[in-house]
Amino acid sequence: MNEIQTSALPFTVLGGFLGSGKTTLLNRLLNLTKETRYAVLVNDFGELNIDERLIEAHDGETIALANGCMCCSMADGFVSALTAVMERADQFDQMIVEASGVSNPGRIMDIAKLDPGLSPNGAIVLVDATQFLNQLNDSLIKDAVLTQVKEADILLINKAHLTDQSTLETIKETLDTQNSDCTTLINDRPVVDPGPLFGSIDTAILKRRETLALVDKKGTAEHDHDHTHDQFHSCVLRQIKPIDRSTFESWATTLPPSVIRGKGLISFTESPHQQWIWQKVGRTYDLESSSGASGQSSMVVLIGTKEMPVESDPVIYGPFLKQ
Amino acid sequence: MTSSTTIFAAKTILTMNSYQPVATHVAVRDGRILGAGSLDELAHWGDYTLNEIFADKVLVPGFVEAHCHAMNGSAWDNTYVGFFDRTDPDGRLWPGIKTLDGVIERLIEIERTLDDPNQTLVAWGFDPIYFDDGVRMTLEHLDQVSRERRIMVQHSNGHLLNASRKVIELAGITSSTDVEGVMKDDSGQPTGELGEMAAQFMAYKVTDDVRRFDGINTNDLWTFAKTATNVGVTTATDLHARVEDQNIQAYVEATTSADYPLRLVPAAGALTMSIQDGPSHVAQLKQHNNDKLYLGLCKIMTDGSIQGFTGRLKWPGYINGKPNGIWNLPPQTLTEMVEAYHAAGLQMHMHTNGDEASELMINAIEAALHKYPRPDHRHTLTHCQMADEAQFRRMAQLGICSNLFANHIYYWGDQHYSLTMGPDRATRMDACGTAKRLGVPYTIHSDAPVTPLDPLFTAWCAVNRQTASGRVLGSNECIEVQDALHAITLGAAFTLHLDHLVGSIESGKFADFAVLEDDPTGVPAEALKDIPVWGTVVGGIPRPASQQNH
Repeated sequence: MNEIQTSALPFTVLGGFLGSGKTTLLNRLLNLTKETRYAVLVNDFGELNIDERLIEAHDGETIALANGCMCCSMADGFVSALTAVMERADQFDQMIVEASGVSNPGRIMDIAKLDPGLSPNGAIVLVDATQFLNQLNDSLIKDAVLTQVKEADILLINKAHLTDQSTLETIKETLDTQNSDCTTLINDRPVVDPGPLFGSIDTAILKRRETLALVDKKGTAEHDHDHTHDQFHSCVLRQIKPIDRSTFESWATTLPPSVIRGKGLISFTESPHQQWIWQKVGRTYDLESSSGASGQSSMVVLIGTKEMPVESDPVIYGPFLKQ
Repeated sequence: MTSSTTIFAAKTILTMNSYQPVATHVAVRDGRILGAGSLDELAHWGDYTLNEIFADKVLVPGFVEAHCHAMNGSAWDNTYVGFFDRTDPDGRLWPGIKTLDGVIERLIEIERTLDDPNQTLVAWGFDPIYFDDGVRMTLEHLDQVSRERRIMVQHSNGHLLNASRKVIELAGITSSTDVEGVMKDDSGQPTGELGEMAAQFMAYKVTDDVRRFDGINTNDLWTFAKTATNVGVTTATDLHARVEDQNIQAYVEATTSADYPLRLVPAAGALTMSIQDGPSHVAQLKQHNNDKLYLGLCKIMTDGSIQGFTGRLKWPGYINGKPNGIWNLPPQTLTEMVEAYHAAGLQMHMHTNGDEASELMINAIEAALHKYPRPDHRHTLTHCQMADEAQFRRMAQLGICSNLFANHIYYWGDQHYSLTMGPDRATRMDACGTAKRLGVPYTIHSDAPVTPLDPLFTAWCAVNRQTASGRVLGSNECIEVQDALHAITLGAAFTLHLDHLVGSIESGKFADFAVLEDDPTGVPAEALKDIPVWGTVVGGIPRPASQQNH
């Protein structure tokens, strides 16, 4: 199981109601990516207008991109498209499912929770700032919209500049009531760099115990550094002695919502020579024993919004060494 | 070459044509009906051969099933463990199993016959909601069959399955699995019952049964036709068809065979195509049509099912307080879809179970009609199970037809009474009486394989409205036998825009008949479903049912 864990394909669900901007975000991601090869399961070919210059081959239900990415239509059904990608899992670094405008991202993410070939990498749900409050007044769709918000690991408010400040505040309050411990970002002026949002942190980097530079190189994907550093912060935390498990868990569960992602190899006092892989996306976190790694020390990488507290804040460093 | 005329003699012929409702003879030339009447009257057509094989039988127009599916011919490769009797395509009756112990016994029998330990035992049609004690199947039950074999028992609703211990182990499902759809017992252990896509996906994955959809093939279509012939059906829809070349090829190949005993009406699934490309694609499919193939119809899926609590209901919702159901696409997208297919001049059958779904589609059609006025569109709400009187009135005004799921009254009527709609609204479900009274053209259906294909049974449901437990659900919505016969012949043909070709025994139409052993208008209404079917006549050629071989 643990060996599979390290080779499991990170699985991200992109949700949000009709018109919330899923396709635009995906296109941006596919245009910007240089190293990460995404396999994207899309809802409808007719609606994903991929930049012609990126397309290398178009074969039935799939479009291959020159940068190694692939788009696969779900016209044949989700399971069929999923199976097609998993048969070629070694050709990709990540799988993204663009959920339909009415589907519950949590039920799609369940697949990754069950299948050892996949590892949950978060449900990102887009909220349309211009429509959200109207949607909550429409009995035909209110329940679907709220379900998506409740199931999100990361909420991204889109089109904020097309609405006024007080509406935006009301939206934020509503989102906070529905899903209080989830990271909420505003994707507007500047638009959010999608790489770090989708990016998983590569376990191999943690094993190498090197610095943040490496994490940036592969883990948080490729992006314009100057630009991104305004939007996202990251930090590496270490501890040379085994950590008390309950201390760790209480730290992990009280990390502020501004911490978007975290991943680490942890040693606990209860079994000091065994290491555990810890992974957090939004409010979802996962702890699994690792057979591939041993040692008494621990290391985690955190990626957050610019609101994430600094490394010297005890909320952040917790049971790790103060920087 | 001069065409020859055959005159079939029958005990009675119910023509469903109003200028001559009853006859004794029908004359056929070139696969079409010359006319019906007495032998003397038909002799005016000149030389003929008299065929008396039906001299003691009753001929009615070949039944038209406007909502069924051609897939699942292969279901019978697996073991049937349903509560109700079911007949396979070869005409063999599989008695329903009334207890969980009985189901386990049948599985043990089948397990003993399997030589290869790696073969997955698959059973289908299981439905514990009918068991008196409400007992559910667990891993312990399937342990009695085998602890080592992969076993999958699919429930009749299509949304649940029970997996054996081997499957659960291989899928890595344990007490710590925290995923919707994995049922657990009081001690937190998985019971083997799996719902929801993720849990089922894993079970199928470890049984090597995750197949890519490979569409329909000619074998499926021949099995389907055999099933149809057994119950008197001569025209049937495949009401959610995929439109890939290989599928179309299969339809063409089957229907161009002179021996193929069924007229097929595949309805292209609009949700499998983009709104931009779908309408022109479906319109182009019509070029493949022949006397037995009618492409061009479209199917729109809106909500889920009522008994699965996924149907979209208007206020006050489900009587047990469950949250409202799901849409297959955002309502706005469904509305745009209706406009696009309507504007392209195509006809749609819309799956609507709950009354909110019906309302959305009525609104969408009304809006499309304002924008693109079009007489005689015959868009049809299929299932249309909960439509209220105001909705039926609007349907009448807008020219919308209904295809009501009469079989539901028998199979799930008791559940609708107690769990989903409650006694009040359950009495108006599948309201044939209201449709008739308010002038909404209607037919009734089986949604086979969801319930068995058998129009006489479906007619019996609409006439008697009796549930599985024997309760009469809404006697005011019962219709007369004559109305029900119309619904399964001309009524269905009308909703398919085929009433000029099939649906009655009338000069100029295809010589398609259902051959019955008794007169449906001469037996008690309760016995309608028990009338034996000899087989069919399609294009003038007699096609005996499989049960004739038994």
